[in-house]
Amino acid sequence: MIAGAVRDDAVPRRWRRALRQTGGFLRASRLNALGAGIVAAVVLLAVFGRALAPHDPNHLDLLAALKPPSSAHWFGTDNLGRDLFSRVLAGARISVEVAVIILGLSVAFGTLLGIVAGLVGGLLEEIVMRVTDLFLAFPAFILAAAIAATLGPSLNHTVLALAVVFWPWYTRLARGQVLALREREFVLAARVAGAGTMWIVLRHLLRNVLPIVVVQVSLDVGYAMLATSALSFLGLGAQPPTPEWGAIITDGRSFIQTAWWWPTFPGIALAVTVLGFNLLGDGLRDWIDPRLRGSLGGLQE
Amino acid sequence: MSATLLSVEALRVHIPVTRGVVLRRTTGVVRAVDGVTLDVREGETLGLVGESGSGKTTLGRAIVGLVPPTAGSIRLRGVEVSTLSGRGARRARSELQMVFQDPFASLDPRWPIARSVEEPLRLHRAGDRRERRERVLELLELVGLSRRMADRYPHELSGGQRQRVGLARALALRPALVVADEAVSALDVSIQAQILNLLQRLQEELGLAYLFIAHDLAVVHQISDRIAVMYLGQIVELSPGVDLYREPMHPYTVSLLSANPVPDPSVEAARERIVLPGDPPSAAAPPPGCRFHTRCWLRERLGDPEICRTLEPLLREVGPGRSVACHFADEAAASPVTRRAVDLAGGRA
Repeated sequence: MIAGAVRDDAVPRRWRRALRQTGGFLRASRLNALGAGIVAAVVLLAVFGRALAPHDPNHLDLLAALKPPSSAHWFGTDNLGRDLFSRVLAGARISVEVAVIILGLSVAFGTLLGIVAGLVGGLLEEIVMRVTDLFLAFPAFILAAAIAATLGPSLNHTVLALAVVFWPWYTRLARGQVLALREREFVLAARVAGAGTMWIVLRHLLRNVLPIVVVQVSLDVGYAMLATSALSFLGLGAQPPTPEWGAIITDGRSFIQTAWWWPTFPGIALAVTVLGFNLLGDGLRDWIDPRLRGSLGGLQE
Repeated sequence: MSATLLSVEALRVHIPVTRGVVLRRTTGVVRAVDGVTLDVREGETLGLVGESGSGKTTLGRAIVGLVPPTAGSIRLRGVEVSTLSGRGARRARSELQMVFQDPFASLDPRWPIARSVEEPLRLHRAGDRRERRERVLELLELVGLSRRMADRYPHELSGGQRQRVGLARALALRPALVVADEAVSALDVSIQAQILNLLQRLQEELGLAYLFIAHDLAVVHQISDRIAVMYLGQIVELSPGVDLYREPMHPYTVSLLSANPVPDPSVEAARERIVLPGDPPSAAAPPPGCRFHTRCWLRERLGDPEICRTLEPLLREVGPGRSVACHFADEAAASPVTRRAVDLAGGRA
């Protein structure tokens, strides 16, 4: 009975902890709150944007071509009469999806590889780390552009290309953490208790590496979105009529003198989104820094 | 005399120092443990002392299977455990558990303490979830923690409480021997006493044997039935605690005794400490002959006998249950330096 009572108490306790920490994070700096607010807004728009959009983002209305912002078309229309506000909203979903896939792939691959390299060591570690060096020595964006161009212009290929340039960062990050963790006494204690390598990786290392990875992800999301848009801007990524922000900006850039709203609004959306993720990431990094925070767990002393 | 629980024979742990990865070559060997023979009896506490780098931690880790031995044997109730692997090793080693030095590093910071204590039970598939929970709560109570602390995280606990949790985890599998590696060194003196008392109570209640590793003779003396002194990977003296304090026979033991602070300022001011010159030699290149000869205070007084530099002294029995590895053990025991060190240390023994 006592056992049950203690356990029932455990769940709210954990939630209270999480809530308290979130509140502390938001209060720590106004920029944290701003970043979190922007990110929350972008994610909500990505999910519900299509429902909110006043028009179909790909609906052509040649009679309403190149209209400046008005109450009917908040961000104006492009040369085919498509509603730019609806297209920018649709673009939010694309950007979020793209970032999730790029980082999902590179984090899963990179982190696991890094953990294994750090844990196994020896020749395997050496090979893995030299391969990451190879990738990191090459300018990331140029490499991604080259891969995307080789595979042929499409949004999927762009996503793949960016995942290929992102994973080495996570491998290095994870390996470094594992090197620090593997001689820690709680890992040794698990081994004395009879734990094998998989147990230690899944139950101890992954959980302790994750917060650091999360911070890196929040910093990289903005960059992944920006890079996707940049590749689309160069014609390597999203193809018409996909309402990807970078692609919209490319289409609109030759109209900037006659229809300034066309490239401007998607540009602002992109800039604000990237800013939001960067603020959130910076804030998280400072927040999780072991010397600054005592209660977020992980690697503090 | 109770039965032998663990016997370590001629154990060597040599750690190769390598350079290069693709063209890996061994540039040296650290003889962390170099021919250690000792046994631990059922229900006793064997203290293991020595300075940093003497190999005591490596010895402890080899016993619980964290470090593979290079040579020699480790037998638990006559069964060789150092060569076992897989499931057999796991079962055999469940009787050999360990408590670590750093109470801050020895618990996973992301796990509630109940989960850390439960970990060995889960690894050994002991009982279902509810039975394990009940056992965890029992274990926490056994080490003097409240059941209500079960779902706290390590950072919410004090150092002493964490060390209790580490002890509860070590006890989860009902071990016969617990290797306590500097288990109280990181704690405040008042907390040290609490943990030492707890260890002694648990020993009486559960019939545990301890291999109690420390660098501080005073702490070891309080808890140990017998004490082994280690220097550069070898045991130089092994005696019942009382004898070691009353009549140390190895110059190194004497110097350790003389380093114990005495809680009396007038005595403390007047006494002479034997300060060993220099650092201990590298375990990668131990000195020839007696390993201690480069720092030995007795050798000088005896007129620098050549045997110290040429012949390695073996651990030999000099009395009931007493062994020492020194060519001049009797001279060491009889030296006025030894007498003074003992008199002073005896003041608090």
